[in-house]
Amino acid sequence: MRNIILGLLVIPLLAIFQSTLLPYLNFHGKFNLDLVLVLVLSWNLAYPDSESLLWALLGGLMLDALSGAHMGINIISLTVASLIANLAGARVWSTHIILRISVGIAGTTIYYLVYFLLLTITGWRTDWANLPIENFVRSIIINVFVMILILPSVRWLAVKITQRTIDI
Amino acid sequence: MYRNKLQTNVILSATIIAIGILLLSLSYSQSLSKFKGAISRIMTPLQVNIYSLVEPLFINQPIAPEELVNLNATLTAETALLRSENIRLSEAVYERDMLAALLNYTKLDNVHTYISANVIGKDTSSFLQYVIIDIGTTGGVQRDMPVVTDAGLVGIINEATPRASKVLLVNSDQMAVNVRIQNSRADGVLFGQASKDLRLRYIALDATISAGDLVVTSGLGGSLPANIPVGAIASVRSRAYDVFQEAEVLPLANLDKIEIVMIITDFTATELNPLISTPVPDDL
Repeated sequence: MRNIILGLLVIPLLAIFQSTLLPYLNFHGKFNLDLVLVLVLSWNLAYPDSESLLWALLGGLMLDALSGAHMGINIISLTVASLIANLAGARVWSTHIILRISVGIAGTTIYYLVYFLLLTITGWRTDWANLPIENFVRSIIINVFVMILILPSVRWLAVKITQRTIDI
Repeated sequence: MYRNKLQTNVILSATIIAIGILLLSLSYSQSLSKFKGAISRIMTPLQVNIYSLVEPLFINQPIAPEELVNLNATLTAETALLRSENIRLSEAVYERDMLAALLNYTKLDNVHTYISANVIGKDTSSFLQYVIIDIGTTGGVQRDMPVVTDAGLVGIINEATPRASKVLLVNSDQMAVNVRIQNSRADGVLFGQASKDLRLRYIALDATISAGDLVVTSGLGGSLPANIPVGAIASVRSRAYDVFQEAEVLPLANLDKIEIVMIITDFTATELNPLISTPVPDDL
């Protein structure tokens, strides 16, 4: 339950930051950080519980509310991406740096692919032949970089909120 | 144990995806406006407060005194220039009105009613070109209203909730604007690109266009008023074997750094569908 309450407190704030502040801190449009995606992936990797998947629902809902695309697109994309992190996080070697990087790359790539696929299905004119691949790659790099930076703090927080006292 | 957990997580993910698909289909059929409005009512005040906190730190940093002196000199010179141009244009308007009255001509008047709004956010996806403004339907904003700055066209209102609206920017790949090149009077259609550039297409091959030419809305199609400046031609691509010419256009308004916009409230987009004739069945 603490997991969900934490999500309810943090995710709306991050979604608003992603909408208000990050567009001005993107190095002239070159590096666009997806803060909510990074946090949801990190959280699922650090705390691969079923409740953590609800962060994807909440994050997607917030992103959709602040986006011009149809409602539901971010929910689906984030859930698919976070399921990968969640499954990887349940492994014993989930703390390995290679796994973290792989989850960051796979999660971000799958998020963008599902996102663009859903945009196309819902009638957006998506030019698949001329997708801004460079922008994708740069976004993946910055997302993975930030994910690796914040993962120790996220893991520490996950341990803190899941700690239970044992009466002897 | 691990298998059970895996199963639970997959089932939960499938449920969330099902919720997403349900919301998507409801949103597609425009049935979620109240739900979106409710979220917007909660998010907008938070967004306004956070924007006002971060704006002085990251967005509008104070200008150095030397830069202000230079800016002042430039603006003073520009004001003098504009004053003389204003006098000349006032004369031209007077002359035009006189001639229009003589010809009993109903002129297209470019004087509009505006309401101004602050930009309080941008689309959470870096691949969609939207901005969020702090005025909604309660302030008189409606879908499809044109949005401009002092420099020129910014976009159109795509979605309006009671307290906030989303503006689809002119450089979005979902936008197509009927425009006219001011010098040559050639018409064309301006398309936004995924790369956020503007490309002008369908310009007649015989039209003489060159870099620097001003591009304004033509009013064709009735979705935007005529004569709103949009951009300037950056480069032209004209090949003998092409059917049309193409040009790259630089927007006049800095679409990456919009802070205040004006919404044209007295313009109603013309509904062209009734004018498009439908085929008559053979048996009638």
